[in-house]
Amino acid sequence: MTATTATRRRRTFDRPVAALVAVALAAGIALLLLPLVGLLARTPWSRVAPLLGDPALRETLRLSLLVSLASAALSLVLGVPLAWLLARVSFPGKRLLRALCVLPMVLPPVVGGVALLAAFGRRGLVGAPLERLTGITLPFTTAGVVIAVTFVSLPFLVVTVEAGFLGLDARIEEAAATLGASRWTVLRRVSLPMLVPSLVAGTALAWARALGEFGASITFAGNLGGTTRTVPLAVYLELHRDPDAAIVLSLVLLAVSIAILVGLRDRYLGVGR
Amino acid sequence: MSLAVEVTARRGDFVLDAHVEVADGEVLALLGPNGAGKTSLLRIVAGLERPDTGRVEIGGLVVDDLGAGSHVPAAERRVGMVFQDHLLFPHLDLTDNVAFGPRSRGTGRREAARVALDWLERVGLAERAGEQPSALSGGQAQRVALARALAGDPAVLLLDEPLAALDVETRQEVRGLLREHLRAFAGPVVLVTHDPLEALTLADRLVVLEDGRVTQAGTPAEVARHPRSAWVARLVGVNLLRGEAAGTEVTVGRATLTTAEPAYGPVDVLFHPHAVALHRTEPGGSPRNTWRAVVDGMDVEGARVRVHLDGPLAVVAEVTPAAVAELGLADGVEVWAAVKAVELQVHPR
Amino acid sequence: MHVRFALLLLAFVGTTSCATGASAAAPRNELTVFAAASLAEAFEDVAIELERRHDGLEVRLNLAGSQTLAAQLLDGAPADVFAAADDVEMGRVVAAGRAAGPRSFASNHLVIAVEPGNPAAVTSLADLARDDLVVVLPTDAVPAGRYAAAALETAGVEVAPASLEVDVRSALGKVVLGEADAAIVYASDVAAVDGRAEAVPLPPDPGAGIGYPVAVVTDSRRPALAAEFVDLLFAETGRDLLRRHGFGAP
Repeated sequence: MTATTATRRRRTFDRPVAALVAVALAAGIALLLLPLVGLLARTPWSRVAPLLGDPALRETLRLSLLVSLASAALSLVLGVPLAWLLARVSFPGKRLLRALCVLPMVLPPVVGGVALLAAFGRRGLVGAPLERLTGITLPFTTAGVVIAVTFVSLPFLVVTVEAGFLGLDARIEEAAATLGASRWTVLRRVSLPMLVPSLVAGTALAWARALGEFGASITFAGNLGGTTRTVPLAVYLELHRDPDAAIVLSLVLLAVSIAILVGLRDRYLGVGR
Repeated sequence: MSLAVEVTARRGDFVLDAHVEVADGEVLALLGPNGAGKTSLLRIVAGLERPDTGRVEIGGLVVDDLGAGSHVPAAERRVGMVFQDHLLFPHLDLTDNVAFGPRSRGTGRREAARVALDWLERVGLAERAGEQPSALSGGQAQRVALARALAGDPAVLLLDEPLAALDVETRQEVRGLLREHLRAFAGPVVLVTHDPLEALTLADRLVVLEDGRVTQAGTPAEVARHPRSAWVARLVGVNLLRGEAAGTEVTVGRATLTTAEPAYGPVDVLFHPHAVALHRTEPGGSPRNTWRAVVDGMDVEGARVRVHLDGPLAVVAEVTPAAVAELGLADGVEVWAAVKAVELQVHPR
Repeated sequence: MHVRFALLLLAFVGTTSCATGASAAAPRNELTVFAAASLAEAFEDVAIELERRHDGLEVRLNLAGSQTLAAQLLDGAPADVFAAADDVEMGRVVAAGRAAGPRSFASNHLVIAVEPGNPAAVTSLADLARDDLVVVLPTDAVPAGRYAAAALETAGVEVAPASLEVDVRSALGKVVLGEADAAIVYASDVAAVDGRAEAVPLPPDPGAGIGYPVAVVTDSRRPALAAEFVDLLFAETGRDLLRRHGFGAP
């Protein structure tokens, strides 16, 4: 008796809730999908091939590829030890370090660029002595772009790999220790090989983020064809001069991003399991 | 003593305070309820946890001495450890899994692979050497885990509930293999378990750990016969007889028992005290095993009374206080004891 | 130093958020002005003046590069007034019928922005070819960049810029931050950074007059107020404000 009334009441409440959820779902999907549809609808298909053949555009693509791959490699080298430290070692200030590691994810990239200038610019904390001692300046150089882009994309790798470490059964590492493996051997022969999926996912995410980075890069390293102008910068600049070129470049970025996501699939991203 | 542990360790409210010594070639079963500190003790010996006070000595080498502030990390102790859920390295094939210990301790790649194959052979899995652990059944994985622990040539072998994760049939098969390798192992062996059968059939000596403290120690027969706590009585207080089987007949000393399942050679015969029925006159009917015995002491445990019997077989019977009154049981009283053949568990030794 | 960064940060966040923010449908007492980024400070003062005259009025400034604004207008963004830094962009909007009757209300001229005190001793366009200088220019996707390129070509100077910044303010920002030694920017931009950069004047080039045209958007919902805003620019008050921010007469 009470059970029937309860079900009946729940049903009457359920209907509007279900409708709201359906609307939210439809709106959510539309928000994500429509921009892509719009981009495809506006693509000047007949101009795609000649535009992609344009030397300046190819130069931009080449530089973007170089910068993003260099940045992904740098993220891997800098990020894995950080991820390990966060996941496997307890020390005072760990929460602070973790916050620091994800900060670039939530910081507007432009602010990141300003902060990078404050540190590595010609008048920066490190940049000024660096120039005085070695004559090297980072702003307006390809290396500067790599640093700016890595600043923004590194957290993606750290977060992914740290999650990988945490998902790893620590007892397997203990088993290795009882078999005589030093901490280093455990890392090299057990943890890292078992982390390959996380490393792949983290590197790919960092790479994809690096490929699309705009704000920090343009703020810190500026814009010069062949040296610092990556695809996102070119998209922004071409948007008003030659919107077709901007759309074609956007399409290239979109295709690469989709390829990465599809390549990783849910398995590596750790969702949908 | 080639393994000596005398430590205390505080884990929140729980305090482990234990003193355990194991001789070379001796198999010690560490028995106790969940949360008694068995695994902690094992991990302290392995160097995976640190004690708060005390010392640990393996093969004459002091590996923990809180007085002197010394601690040898796990990787530098010569321990071999088998875990409940095997913990094989999922990304390495069986050879590399077993070769991991020798290689970590400095053996060359080729020699380590040879040692690994040799150990896989001994646990009957040589033909699977190139496969990944994921291709193995639970029992097979545990056999590889044993091989992996032994391949590193450890000074002490530690087993943490090695059979607990296996199903009943597999358990019997792996238990047989374990017994063989534990006997063959030259150093001290510590086996953590909460399964009395495992403890009684694999160990030379039992140490009962309850709430962080050793409550009883002795041979399996002693502990089974004179359990000192309710927990031990309930779990270990079984009748354990050693005999020689020939088909469904087992000769134990002067007596012969009839069993339901045939076996051959040296065996352990186990049956629970409550399977032993007591009568004032010779019972008729189905029990295949009946004998005359003399009451040799009684322990009252709540609603049960453990009656110690002397005679051709030294066993314990468990009856209700009402039955004690009805049968007029007292020290020196003669009774007939009866056990059905199907109640006897026979385990080859 | 801290103030500099804070200022630049605000400028960046300001421009990006304005450029990308979607304009909502205008409520009753609101006037939306699309203005070239270089007009920011001057138009804020003009807006305050108009708001002072109309109780409850709120003037919303959408500040971005002229070409961005033109593109938004051509895409149908609702607005009341359009003030560009470039006749070309204004022409596109007028040709599309989105604005009518453009009039030039101010002028600007290019200068070389250098650090205060001119430590690199830059005195002419020819100095920008020196290879000990880090020079940034606005990209030629914005009017200032095209004017700068034209000026350099007229002077016969070949410059290897370190960067072609996305807009004039970014180029100036690099000088303010000390990352660049010199940048070609508008005089009004240097006036806007309050002494954190110094202007090296360029010889007047009669061929390169930089005019700022303004027009009322044709489908403005508040045409009378829009016209009043435009008129204010030509009135003595407006001219005063513009002059104070470094703009010349039309």
